[in-house]
Amino acid sequence: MSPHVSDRLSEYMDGALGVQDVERVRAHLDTCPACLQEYRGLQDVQQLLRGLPAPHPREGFMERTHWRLAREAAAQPARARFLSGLREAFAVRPFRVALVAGALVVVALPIVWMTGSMGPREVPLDSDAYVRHYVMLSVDRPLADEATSTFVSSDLPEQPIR
Amino acid sequence: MAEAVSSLVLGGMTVSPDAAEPRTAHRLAAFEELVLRHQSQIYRVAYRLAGNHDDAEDLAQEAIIEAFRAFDRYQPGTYFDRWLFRIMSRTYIDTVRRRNRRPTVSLDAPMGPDRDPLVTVMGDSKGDPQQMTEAVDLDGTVQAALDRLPEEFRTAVVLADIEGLPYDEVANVLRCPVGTVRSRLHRARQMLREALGPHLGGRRGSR
Repeated sequence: MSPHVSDRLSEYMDGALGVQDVERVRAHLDTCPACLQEYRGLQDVQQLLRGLPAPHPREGFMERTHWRLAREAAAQPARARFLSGLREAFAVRPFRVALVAGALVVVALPIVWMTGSMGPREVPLDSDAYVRHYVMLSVDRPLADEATSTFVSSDLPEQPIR
Repeated sequence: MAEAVSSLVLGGMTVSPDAAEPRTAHRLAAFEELVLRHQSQIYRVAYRLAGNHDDAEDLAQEAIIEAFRAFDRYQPGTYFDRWLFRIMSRTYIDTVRRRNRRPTVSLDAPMGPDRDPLVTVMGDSKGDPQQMTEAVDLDGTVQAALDRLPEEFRTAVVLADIEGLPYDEVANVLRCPVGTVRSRLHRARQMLREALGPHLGGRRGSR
């Protein structure tokens, strides 16, 4: 009789063997009652595990999970601040601080200049500012369509009203 | 000008922690949506690993919190449940080793009707006439047998036979070679077969 195939039976069952090994195991199972019995037992175990009912979590499980997560999320920025504070506290070197500050200024200056001259001009669009601009525009040019058109389009004039 | 720049830099520094909070809220919402979608798989694996509802809830929540901490490393579009199982299996094994509450069976320990109290108990419940009771008993019996497996074996068999993961995915979750998964899985099934033997025989006979 061919050598026992006990070690290969799980892989055989899961279809994880190559063609030659499959043939070898199949031929052995045809002639060996002991291995066949073991194989059936493994099949039964797998069937039993697959058939286990899905356990239901206790009432409110997701809600409790949500609260734990929310606490964790709230703690994260604080932890990040704490860690960066620690890092700073342990890494303070006057020369390094000056170097970093200098680098920041060098990087920030062109950005400030560029956004100041080229970037889109921010026009305040909250209701107070809008009404104030509208009233001033109407008073300034009572017969112009400009006031009405800006009201309709809700675009404020680029130039501040004198 | 220098004053304007320094105030801008300082302003940026004081504003950044607050500015991170909406981002955190957004992350949390996206994360919770994924957890909700996979909650039954997450709880099922936690329950089969932990063995009871108290420990299962703890394990599931700890894994979920750990996953949230590492959420930046999750690649959208990949299996979220498998990524979480990876974290859960580590949390689980760490927890078990730390507490060392649950005795595990040595691989060399003899198993059989004479030495194994589990098998003796199951032998007594063989003739139970009520099917419903039998199903509940069966679940408890199988779970008791799972509980007696070493952690690595239990994790492998839960992922492969209860979750239906292929070998390479189990290996990925357990961070071990596929060959290790093959042998652990086979050994786990053999141990379960030995532990549940009389019960399996009875089941087949009744069908």
